[in-house]
Amino acid sequence: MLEVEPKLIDAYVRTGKMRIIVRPLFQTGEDALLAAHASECAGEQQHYFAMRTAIYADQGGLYAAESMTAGLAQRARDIGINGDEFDRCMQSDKYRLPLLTEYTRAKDAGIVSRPVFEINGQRIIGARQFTEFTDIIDHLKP
Amino acid sequence: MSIIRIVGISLFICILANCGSQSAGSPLATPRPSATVQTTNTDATNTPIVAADATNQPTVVANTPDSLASGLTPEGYHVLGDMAAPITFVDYSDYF
Repeated sequence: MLEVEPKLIDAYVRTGKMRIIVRPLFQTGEDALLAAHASECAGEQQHYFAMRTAIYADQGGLYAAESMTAGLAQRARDIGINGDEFDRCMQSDKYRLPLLTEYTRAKDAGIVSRPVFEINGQRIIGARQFTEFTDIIDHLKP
Repeated sequence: MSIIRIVGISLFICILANCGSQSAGSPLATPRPSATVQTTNTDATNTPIVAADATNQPTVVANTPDSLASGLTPEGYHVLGDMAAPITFVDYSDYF
């Protein structure tokens, strides 16, 4: 989605035809959970999508970093988030349980792999090219 | 005279008692301020990640890097774009 999502945003979200809802799904362990937690903490300061974009843009750097927590804190500051508030949120660990619960809910709904997409309820399993999404979305348009 | 006095006192007591019952339990009592509406969910498996807005309407903010509208769905999921857009794209995704 790193390359496809910006195209979808330009073509459909920016034009008011589509909205994107994010539902986190964890299969890659603690680092992914930390990243999702960081996104939620960024969301408290209305920067959820900015943080999400920042994490996706530098997945390799974050994953290779000595400390994932420190790396996420730096990315948060880089995009203008209040660092102290962000750090307090991360230390609270308050989103861990809800995020893990969300994973359980997704599994219960039959979402067992990633990525999975739903376009107006039509489920698509696995990564797709931009044109594959447009074929589906354009067919849905009135 | 004593009978009239007794009747008068009884009538006075009766009036007082009537007024007391009206102020304690009638709809004329001063209403309480409206209680804050809270969205609660007793199902542990259905807990949203972020508390939904009490009015069940998306919370819209415009502070994304590219100034697109973003906010929360009533279920508490982060959403990017026009809340009234005809197409909904749900992304179940993970980092890394």
